[in-house]
Amino acid sequence: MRLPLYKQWSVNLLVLALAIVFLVPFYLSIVTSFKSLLEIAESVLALPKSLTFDNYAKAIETIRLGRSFVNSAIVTAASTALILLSSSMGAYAIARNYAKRGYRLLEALLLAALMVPFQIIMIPVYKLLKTTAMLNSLTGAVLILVGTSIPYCTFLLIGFIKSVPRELEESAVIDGCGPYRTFWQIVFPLLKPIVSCLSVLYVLWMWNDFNVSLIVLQKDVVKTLTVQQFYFFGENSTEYGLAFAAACLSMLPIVAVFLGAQKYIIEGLTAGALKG
Amino acid sequence: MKTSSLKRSAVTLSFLLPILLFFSFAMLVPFLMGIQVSFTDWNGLSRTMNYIGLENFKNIFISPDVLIPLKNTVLYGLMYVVANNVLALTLALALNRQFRGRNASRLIFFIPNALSPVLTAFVFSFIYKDLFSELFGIQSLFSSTGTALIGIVLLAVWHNVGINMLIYLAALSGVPKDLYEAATVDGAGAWQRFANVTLPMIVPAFTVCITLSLTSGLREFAFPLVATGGGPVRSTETLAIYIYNYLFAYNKAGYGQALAFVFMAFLLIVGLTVSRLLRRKEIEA
Repeated sequence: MRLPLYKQWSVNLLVLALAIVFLVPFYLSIVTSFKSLLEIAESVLALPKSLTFDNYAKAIETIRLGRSFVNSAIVTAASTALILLSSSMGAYAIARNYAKRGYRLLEALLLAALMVPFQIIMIPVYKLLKTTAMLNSLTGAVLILVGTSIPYCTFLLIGFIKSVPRELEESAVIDGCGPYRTFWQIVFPLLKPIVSCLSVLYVLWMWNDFNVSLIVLQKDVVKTLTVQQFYFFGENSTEYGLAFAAACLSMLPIVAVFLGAQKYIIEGLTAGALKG
Repeated sequence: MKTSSLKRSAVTLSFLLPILLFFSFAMLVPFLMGIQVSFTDWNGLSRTMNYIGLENFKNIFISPDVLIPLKNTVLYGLMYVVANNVLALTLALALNRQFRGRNASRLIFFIPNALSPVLTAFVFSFIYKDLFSELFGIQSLFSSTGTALIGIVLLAVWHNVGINMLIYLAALSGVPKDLYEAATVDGAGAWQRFANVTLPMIVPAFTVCITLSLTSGLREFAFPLVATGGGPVRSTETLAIYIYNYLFAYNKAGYGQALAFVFMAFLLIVGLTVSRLLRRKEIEA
């Protein structure tokens, strides 16, 4: 199935052209963050005339980047850990008791929950957190993020655990291993490929969450980066240099995580982790 | 014997407990509360609410206003599914070869996923407004009612196409090589090989990608909310934004909640129909 050489090259050119188009937004964000308003007005595409970090200094000052950065980090770390730990435990229980009707029903319930649009629970979540005094608290946001992420994560893990052979667990039990030790020392390590892929994806998704944070985190002290950006861009849509400096700063950590961990995502996805 | 089986179910339950607690708190309880709210005239703020029966649901079906976001949502969903899957499959086909830069290109097409919807919408507003006028001398796509929705589709495809591309790539690499050789021996050309070997073999990937991108496209919320706020003149107001406005801006939570349930029914019907149709193709293949 080798294409003739000229066709190979035309496909390569197409890929190259598309890749350039895909990178333009990143290029623009970076160059604009170093430019003055005058320079931006002259040309959007041109490189900045000098490398000054004025925009960055101002951005850090005006949008309380530090605070929302810490909030985002707390929410992301706590939610991702809770999602993966509780989903893998739950998925294990469901996958190993699949012969029983109740467990299959539970799986069906999780599947149905995947179809529920967030708007259905928006107002009730607001009400619920208000009555439990968790509105505008990071704990409240984490609880909702974990609860709404569990159906998908558990569902994927059930499929994966079903394909893990039981023999190891059985021999562990014969050797006198209790159920918890069997799970954490025998089963959980076997889940490493899919758990690492899902961890990276959930770090991205939690860091970038907009729906839940918009409803739950409305006070300045608890705002995460995405919510802070939403209000910031709304108010400073013309101060491009400043806005893009803020944009680049908030892109930086997540792109770094992504580049460091891309191997796991691509491996996991290519192995069919998201096929369900 | 009895105590040990009791103990065993207690252990199993302890494994399930965390997901049950989180899921109930964040989804099950709110869902049930939502059913209750949808039968009331609650404004979202006051301490009291009155039950008004099916009034809210009746009003949805006689209101011509809801047709505007419905039209936008369906149009957006269709454009998004087509654009996303055509580009994802094209990229997957182009990258499913050995060439230098294969890994780099996979990364480049996937990396937009790392950005938040807020950031993406902001960067694209800038591109449409300032870059497009500099390069092509045209107005921002977001400034006219005819092109605003297309603008949102483009930025959403840029952001999300990588996931579908990887799913198609995984499916393509699973097609056995000898099938192509057999087809070539039988005299099939490149196009025939694609239509008769590749396509039927990757139908499961179509089921996943089309169903997921359709249902997520029909729910689109963050991109239009941030990029255009639903404007100009409501031309990018999706159902999700419409419902959000009733819930939080217009102080008609009861009605908004009823809308959300009708919306869910709509999504369920579309999602199940589409996946069932595609699954049927899988069996034939």
